[in-house]
Amino acid sequence: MKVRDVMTKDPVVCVSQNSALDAAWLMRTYNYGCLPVVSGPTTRRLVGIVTDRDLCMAVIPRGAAPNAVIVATAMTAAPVTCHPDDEVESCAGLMRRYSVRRIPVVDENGACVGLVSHTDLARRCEAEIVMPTERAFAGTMA
Amino acid sequence: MQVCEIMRHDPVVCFPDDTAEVAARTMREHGTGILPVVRRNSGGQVIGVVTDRDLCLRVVGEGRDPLAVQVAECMTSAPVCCGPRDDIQYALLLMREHQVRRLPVVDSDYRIGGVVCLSNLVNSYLAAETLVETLRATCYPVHRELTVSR
Repeated sequence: MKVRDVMTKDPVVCVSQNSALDAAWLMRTYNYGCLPVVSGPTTRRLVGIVTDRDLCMAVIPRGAAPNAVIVATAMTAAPVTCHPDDEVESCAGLMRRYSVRRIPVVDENGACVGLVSHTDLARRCEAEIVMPTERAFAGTMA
Repeated sequence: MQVCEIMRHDPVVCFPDDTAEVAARTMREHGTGILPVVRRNSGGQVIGVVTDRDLCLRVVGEGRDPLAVQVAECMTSAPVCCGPRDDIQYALLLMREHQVRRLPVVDSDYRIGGVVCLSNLVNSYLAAETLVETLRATCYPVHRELTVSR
């Protein structure tokens, strides 16, 4: 099974100049836990990834205004990625190795074409593929 | 196996009148994404749970001032809980039924004793299929608006 078989195609994305408010609004409206950050609406070259927790921590502990903080401040730049033709096992391995639950999917040009999460793997793959990844999170409160 | 054997004991908590700023700082300091919310001067009686996602969506997503929003406005009230002597199979069933992957663990007076996460259960004797079924169930919330995410 390939990543392209389980991923969310053409996910909702944002750009690094978006405010934290915009990004959080997108997450709420489309029920996402993280958004790929791309260079622009047409090229969609991946530059980072931002999670709901990233936005929370970039804004709230310092009492900042949500529209005054930009995604660039909150995101992880140059994240781990995978390719649509990768096998799901290798994708699960990446999640385990880097302790992440979602991985953006990019094509040969580095454009974001999808997003794959550990729950996508849980829905579509055998338990043996999913379980080692879940074990990697066993000590956390995630 | 009982919940108390695998839960995280004495979790850090917050109060309903804490600001979002206090709650987020606490989560960051303690490396957690969830805080049981307890009533003041009650010996830790649980009245809600608040997550980093709740804070993101309700404070950042609504453009509100983190110093002006209280935890009570962001939390899920009357959360599903389990007891320390419950079997872990029962905890798993609750998670599946209510589509959550973490449960506060409370005594008969609803006082907090711990938190049990689906990720705590993966190293237990429970079959991989059962655990993955629960994980699948937490993917699509039926009626809770803002909590479970992609």
